[in-house]
Amino acid sequence: MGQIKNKIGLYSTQFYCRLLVLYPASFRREFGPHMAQLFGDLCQDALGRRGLPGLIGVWWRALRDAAVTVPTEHFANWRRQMQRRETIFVLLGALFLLFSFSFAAVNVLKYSLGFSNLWDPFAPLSAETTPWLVRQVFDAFILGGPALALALFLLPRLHLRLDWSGDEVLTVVIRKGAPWSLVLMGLCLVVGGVFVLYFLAENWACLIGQQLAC
Amino acid sequence: MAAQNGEPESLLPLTPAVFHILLALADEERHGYGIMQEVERLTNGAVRLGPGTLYGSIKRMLDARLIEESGDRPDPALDDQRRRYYWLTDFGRRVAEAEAKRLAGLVQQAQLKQLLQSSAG
Repeated sequence: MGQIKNKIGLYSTQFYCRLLVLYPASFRREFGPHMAQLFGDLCQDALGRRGLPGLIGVWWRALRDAAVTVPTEHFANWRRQMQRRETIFVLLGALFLLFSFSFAAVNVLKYSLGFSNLWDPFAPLSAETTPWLVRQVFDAFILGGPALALALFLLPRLHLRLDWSGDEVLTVVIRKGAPWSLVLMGLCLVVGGVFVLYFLAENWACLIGQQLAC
Repeated sequence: MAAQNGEPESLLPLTPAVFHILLALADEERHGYGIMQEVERLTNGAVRLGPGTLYGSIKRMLDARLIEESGDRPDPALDDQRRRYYWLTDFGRRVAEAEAKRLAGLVQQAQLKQLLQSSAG
């Protein structure tokens, strides 16, 4: 009888080891063998005390635990990777910001300073020569640039934690950044704010225009 | 869990799992299964940590330097060599004390508002 229980415990642990593949690889490498050993101990203990019903109880507990901790560990892993890749995020954000900033600068050159007769940078993007989808993507990148850049500067600083055991499921903390990253974030807000104001002003003029026309 | 910055209060409030693990390690170093059993004993079986919760919390506690892996083994001859033992660091002890004080303050408030009258009396 004892041998049968040992075998059931062993198979049960082997099956649990397969379940561990659901956890992130780094977590599994570090703690997988210990989790499997712990589960084996729980199985042997439960089988010894309460037999098969005890083992079912252990499995029920392990599955409920995995349902919560697998997404939690993936989330934590994703957050760690993001913090490690902060430089890439910042460079990409700076690129987006530069793109939007150039658009604003070119607009000023063309319309405010009267360079339109000499050079029209938007000529290649005219409705006649450029497909509609390409123009939409270009507009989305230009107008969404500051918001995208801000998100890219902010994301690695966000410290998010998922935890189902307490009252607060999601905790959000923003880590302090270097002064230059704050300057970049401020620049995003300024450029984004200018775009929003420009957009509102344009639409306001259209609205008034329509009313006048009526 | 945020990284250690010297102030125990910066990590408060702790999650129940983390506080229970700190309590389990307060008197002696233990391995994973030992921690689980001690938590069950301390809570009369009310709190039963699963393997994922236990080792997920241990990982975050190691990162925050609340606990450390122990190089010594209590009795290598009687124990499985693969087991990892953990012990409470000084910082971990200070964090546990700060959390205990915070909870004691809450209990005091509950007593003042006569929410603990029936159980205390």
